[in-house]
Amino acid sequence: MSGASLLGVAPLSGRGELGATGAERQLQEAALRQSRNPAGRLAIALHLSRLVAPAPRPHHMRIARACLQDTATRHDGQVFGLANGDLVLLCRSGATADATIGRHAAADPQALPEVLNRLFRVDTPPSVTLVSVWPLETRSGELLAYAASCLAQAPMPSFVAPDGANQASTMDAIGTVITAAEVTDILQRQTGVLLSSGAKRGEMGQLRPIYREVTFSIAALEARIVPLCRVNDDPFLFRHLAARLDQRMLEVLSAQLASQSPLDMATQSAPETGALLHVNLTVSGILSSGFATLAALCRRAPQTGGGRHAARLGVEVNLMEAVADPRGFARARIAVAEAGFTLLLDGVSHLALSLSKPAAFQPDLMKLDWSPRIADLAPHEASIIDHTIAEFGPHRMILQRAETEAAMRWGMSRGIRRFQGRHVDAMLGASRIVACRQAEACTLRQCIERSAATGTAGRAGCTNLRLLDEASPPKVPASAPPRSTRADALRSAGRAEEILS
Amino acid sequence: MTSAAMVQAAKRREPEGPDADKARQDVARLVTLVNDCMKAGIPREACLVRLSALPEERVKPLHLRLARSALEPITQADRAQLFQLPNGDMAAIWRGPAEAAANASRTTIEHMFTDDKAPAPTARLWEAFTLPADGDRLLAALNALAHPRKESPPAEPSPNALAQLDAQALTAIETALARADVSHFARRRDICMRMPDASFRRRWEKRYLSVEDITQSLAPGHATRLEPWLFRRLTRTLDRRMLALLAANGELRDAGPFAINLNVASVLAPEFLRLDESLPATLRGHVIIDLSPADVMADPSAFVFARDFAHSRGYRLQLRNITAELLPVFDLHRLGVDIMELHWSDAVASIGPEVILPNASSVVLSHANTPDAIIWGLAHGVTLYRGEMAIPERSRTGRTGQSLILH
Repeated sequence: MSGASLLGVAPLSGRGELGATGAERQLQEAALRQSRNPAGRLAIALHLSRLVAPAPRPHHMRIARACLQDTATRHDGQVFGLANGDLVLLCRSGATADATIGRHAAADPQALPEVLNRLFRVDTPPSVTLVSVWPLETRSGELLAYAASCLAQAPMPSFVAPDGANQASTMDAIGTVITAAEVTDILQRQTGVLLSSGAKRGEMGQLRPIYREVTFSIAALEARIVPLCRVNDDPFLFRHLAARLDQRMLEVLSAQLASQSPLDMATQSAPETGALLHVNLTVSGILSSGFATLAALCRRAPQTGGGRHAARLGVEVNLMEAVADPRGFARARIAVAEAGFTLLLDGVSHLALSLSKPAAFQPDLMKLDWSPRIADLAPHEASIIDHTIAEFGPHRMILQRAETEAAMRWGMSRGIRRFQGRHVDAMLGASRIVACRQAEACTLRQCIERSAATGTAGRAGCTNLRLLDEASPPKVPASAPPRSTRADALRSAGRAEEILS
Repeated sequence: MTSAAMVQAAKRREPEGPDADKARQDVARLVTLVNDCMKAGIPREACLVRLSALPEERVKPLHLRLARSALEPITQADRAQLFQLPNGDMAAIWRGPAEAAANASRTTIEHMFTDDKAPAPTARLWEAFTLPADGDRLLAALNALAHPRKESPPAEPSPNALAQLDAQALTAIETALARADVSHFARRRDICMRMPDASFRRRWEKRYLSVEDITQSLAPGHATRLEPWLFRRLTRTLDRRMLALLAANGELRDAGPFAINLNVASVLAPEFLRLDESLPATLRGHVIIDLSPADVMADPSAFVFARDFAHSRGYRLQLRNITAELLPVFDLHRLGVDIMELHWSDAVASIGPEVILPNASSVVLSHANTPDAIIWGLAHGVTLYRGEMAIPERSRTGRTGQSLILH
């Protein structure tokens, strides 16, 4: 690979990689030229534009270019980087004499499609054809048609690599905001539910809110500064920021536990629901004096809260924290247990679950991130996930980011009953609208957004704050509302999934 | 003499350079020998001459030479071997009764080093052992050789006295690092395989940049490791500089197999592609990319992509810094990496021999600075080590005999 291609600079001519500008036209010209003498020529198109967001990521583009360029260099080829993100290689189809080991073997045009498919399998939906191979002798028409269609496409916005100084400055700015801002304006809430089984197999039963998670709203924080980059671009800097957020969260919780604030509402649950307030903390936060103070306050809550039940917390710790400091995590687990709280392992993706064994950290509950990819995994990967869930206990798993009914059905079919996500928000919102006598002017989206807010501004417009703040909205079975009433509620708001998508 | 003073005296006597390597190899050999005797019930006699317990003024190089000659009679016994230990102590081991020879050596030593005017040494000057019965006592004594370092006062300022790294300081260090000549900070460590004759042979070397030296040079007064997440972020900049250093002309011309610490993002960075481009053909298949568990879990999707890309280019992957707590979390096959570096600690030591270490032949036991680490490793089938107890024996041709083949 040439140095120029590494730096993303398009050489003007020769066998080097072409830049995105005009690449479609150049591809079309080269395809026309080579299809006139197609013997032994091959086109390989890598359709990165077909990947599902956040892919293709910058490293996908970079490595894919490197792989294709390697083949181009060894097989008299040329790489075209198209504006939609696709990469096309035109080269000789035969293997060279040195195609025996390691990278030379991977550069063989015959082996390249398999190499690319293997590299991208995690990010490729099963229904997508990522790599097209067109031998020009027999399929040049397909290449020409593809080149023509690419010419008509609008260019993709180019990626700007995050800058280290900008990231650090953004983190510092956010650190200042969290200490100065009215805290309820930068917090958000989301309710987790327990879903009982329906009468029939696969049918959803009743929703029972079991906890309300309170987190800092990164969007609200970014809105208060001029962000020079996205806050969670760098996971390490974000974890550093999380430690600062911890201190503020612990202060806020300690200060508000004795009040009748929206935050506190979640902790004064009715005994039959046993709802908890869930907060995200780092290992160092749990081992800090702030946490010990909070634990002591929670133990005293029955006396200070006028006969309320003791405040109970669920403490969510990110898997990264546990892996980075396993000894600290073990001590934190003991501290959480001694405080009488529940410990949850958060941020467990299906990939993390298939690569490692997070259950070995022995949390009380584990939160698995839903992704549409979970439902389409290869059989051996799916069996690892299923086995892990069964071994840990589906009753101890929470499927979060449950944005669709498909997510909930996937979870239910594996025995998972705890859910959190936008689909749950929509179901709870619909229940509130059905139950609320002042809901005529409200849409479902408004009700969901107001319920997620903890500050006055975010909840403006709602005239039934008591119902909005209740940890346990009126018990409404997911399938129970009379068809006409539920249909009316949803009609006025639009279909939940549609408006939330 | 206080124990602290003894430690200091012993440290002053610790040999340096090739002598230090020889002494550490002697400890490893002796530990293996004692361990073998205990396992197989082989009877042997042994003695430990604790010269380190004497005051400094009583042990001059001349005295040490005299002590060695005083042990001559015992070295004439059947299968006798003499060991020079890192703290200046000496040990001998032999087969069968050699009472006369042992008494002769002991009498000479005591006569030579006992002074009526001086207080008696806190430890016995001559200690006798009968193997296999006294094996544990001898191993404990040898282990103690490796531990005094912990008791020595810290040479560097306490971390509490240093400023904590913040985002702005991090940016400043990253900027300075981008311009600095980092070749001064490049270091190497050996990863060795224990051979059947109890010697260690280098398999590959780890190349890394000394974070402590970089911090001292570029950000004096800062404790980079106190803020673990910012430190991890800093390692990305270190990665880029290390990769640039390795890709420089001639840097890898005569290099043997090596490992480098990298973040997942660095494996997918332009700097890595440059190194890949400049990697000599003889090294392809002999380079190990060493990843941290937290980094792998930070972005599992990028890890899987980087893993498959690295494997397709002939690199091998190692997961480093696996502690006893992380051992049940990660499995080599499930993760798809080739080697696991297990960090020796008291918690690892408490894992009994009844626990089978999965893929032991692909495990490197790091921080093997004490004999008990080697003993534990041997009991669990570990053959690869990094640490003070695993010093490669230099062959006549120098740094040869390296190979990355593990099985």
